[in-house]
Amino acid sequence: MDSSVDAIASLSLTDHRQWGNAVAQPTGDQLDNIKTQIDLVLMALEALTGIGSDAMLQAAVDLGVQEMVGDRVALWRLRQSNPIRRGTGGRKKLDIEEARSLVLISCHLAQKHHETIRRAVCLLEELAEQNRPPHQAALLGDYLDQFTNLYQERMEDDHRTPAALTDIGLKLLIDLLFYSAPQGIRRLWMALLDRTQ
Amino acid sequence: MSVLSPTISKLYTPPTCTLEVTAKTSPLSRWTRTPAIKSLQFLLSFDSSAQRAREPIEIYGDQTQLSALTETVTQYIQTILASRATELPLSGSQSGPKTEPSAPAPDDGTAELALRPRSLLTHELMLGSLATAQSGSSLLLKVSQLYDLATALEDCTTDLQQIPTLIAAERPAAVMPFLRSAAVVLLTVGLGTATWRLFQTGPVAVNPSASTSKTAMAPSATPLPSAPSPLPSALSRPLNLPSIQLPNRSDNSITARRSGNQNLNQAEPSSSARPQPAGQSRATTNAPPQSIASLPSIEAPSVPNAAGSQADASAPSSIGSTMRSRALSQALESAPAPQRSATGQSTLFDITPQVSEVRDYVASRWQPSSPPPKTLEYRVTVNADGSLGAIEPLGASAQQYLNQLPLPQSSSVFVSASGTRSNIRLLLRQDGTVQTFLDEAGQ
Repeated sequence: MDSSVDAIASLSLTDHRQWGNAVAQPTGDQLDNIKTQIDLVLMALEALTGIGSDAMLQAAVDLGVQEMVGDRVALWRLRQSNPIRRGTGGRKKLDIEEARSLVLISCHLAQKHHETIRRAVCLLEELAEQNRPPHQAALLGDYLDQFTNLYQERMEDDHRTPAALTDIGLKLLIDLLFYSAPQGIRRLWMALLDRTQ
Repeated sequence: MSVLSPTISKLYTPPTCTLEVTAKTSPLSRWTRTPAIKSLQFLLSFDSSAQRAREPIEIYGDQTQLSALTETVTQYIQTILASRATELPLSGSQSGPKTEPSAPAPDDGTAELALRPRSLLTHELMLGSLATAQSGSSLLLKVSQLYDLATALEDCTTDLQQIPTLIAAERPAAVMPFLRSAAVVLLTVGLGTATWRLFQTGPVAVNPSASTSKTAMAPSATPLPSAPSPLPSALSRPLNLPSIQLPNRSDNSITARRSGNQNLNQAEPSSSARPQPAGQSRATTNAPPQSIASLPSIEAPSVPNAAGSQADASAPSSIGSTMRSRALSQALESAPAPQRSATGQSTLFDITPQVSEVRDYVASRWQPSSPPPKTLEYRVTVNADGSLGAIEPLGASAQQYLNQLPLPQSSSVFVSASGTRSNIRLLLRQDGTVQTFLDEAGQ
């Protein structure tokens, strides 16, 4: 995946090819929903690969978007803009450039951990074929446990059952596979816009 | 006058499928030094799962169908990514990565290319006009297979989009008038000769060609006015992968075309009765609907004019049949060395003698200890003096069989010298078929 990572590193916030034909810019309300989705994508990556803010900040440097995401505080503030975050959720407005920066970082990290993501998805497929629960595979079990923990720890909507959180985690895992492709940036950005319509 | 259109081929090999795209380069590309492509065909094979030792499921089609498939897959993926639905079951009622031929190939012309979810992890690809007897009307794809399919299709689209860009950037404008004049002269001479020979040959040869005239011979009536246009039209075709609704071409039409090719080869009149390749390439270049427009007459259950269907079948034969590996291999093996037969499909891939020599060398020695689990693919570099430069296995299976690959020691001369270093793609299929292509991308 090195070539893909290099390719993504060469992209910029203004390269329209990678962002698809999304000429329309998201409105304020759409951006609120985008905040939640990006935060969840990053959280799924954290849960699966064990990466933390260090890796995200390094990705920002690699991608040349450190102006948007320069340090831990800036990253924390961006992610805290997620309206369903516990405590301080929705405090900050996320602008388009910041949202795109987070999309770049998410896809960059997904590409970097493509093999892990694919292995997890293939395990999930095998277990599903055998009608076995995903927790029976260590990689998936650890991921789902970690995702559930992070969600319950960080998010306000704690009315969701563990089974519902497992469903969200598995959906995000499959989505991550598609975001880990060279076309991942366009896919994620278009999905974020589509979800808000 | 050997002006065979060289064929370029490119393989996309994600883990669970293989997309092979073949196109002819326009003879005029030699002067423009740019790869103008036409007559694009694709072969997409889905590898069998490990549990089921079936042959790969293959579908194939032309550029329009490739474009439609790409658009369908891309849009579908976008739909499922944007979906909030998490309530889909993990596995569908019919779990299983590979398809049974679930239903006969659609024959009512109503089935369309489409994807729909069967579960969170399984998606059903309705093949529409791409369906074959082997594939059935739909394929069940695991999500990892869907990912691989999308990767291959989008990589291919990216490559195709870059070709016209290169052309636009590199085309020497000052030379164009000369090139156009040269093209006009060539076409005039070529078509004139073809027409003259056509009328000199007896009615035996004219009969099949008579109905071909609406396709292959049509340009001869107006060669001069349209002569300067091959370059732009040929170049622009791959630029916009059109989002055209697929014609409802049933499997019958493909079968008819393939069987028609064989019949045509056997019953083909003397090569002199065929139009010159330059004329034929003009026909296929400037008449894009030709291959599509001619299909209804092929797929019609009762063809009123048998000669017409045979003649139409001749149009896509050069590329269409070559996508079928076995047919290709047989044609290549049975055909003599390249000669004046301007339409000899057996020579399409043998752009240089080394291509066939490598194939012959390997085919005569290839005896694996056990049949490979899938098609093995290698990139073989042949030095200018005909010696072996390097072997690069493409994929894990190819790596495993590397030691059994019957190629000589590095730097050992095993084919004739060509004066240039060339990369050749070597494919060893499960049934023992050996294929080689000039890997222009690697040059």
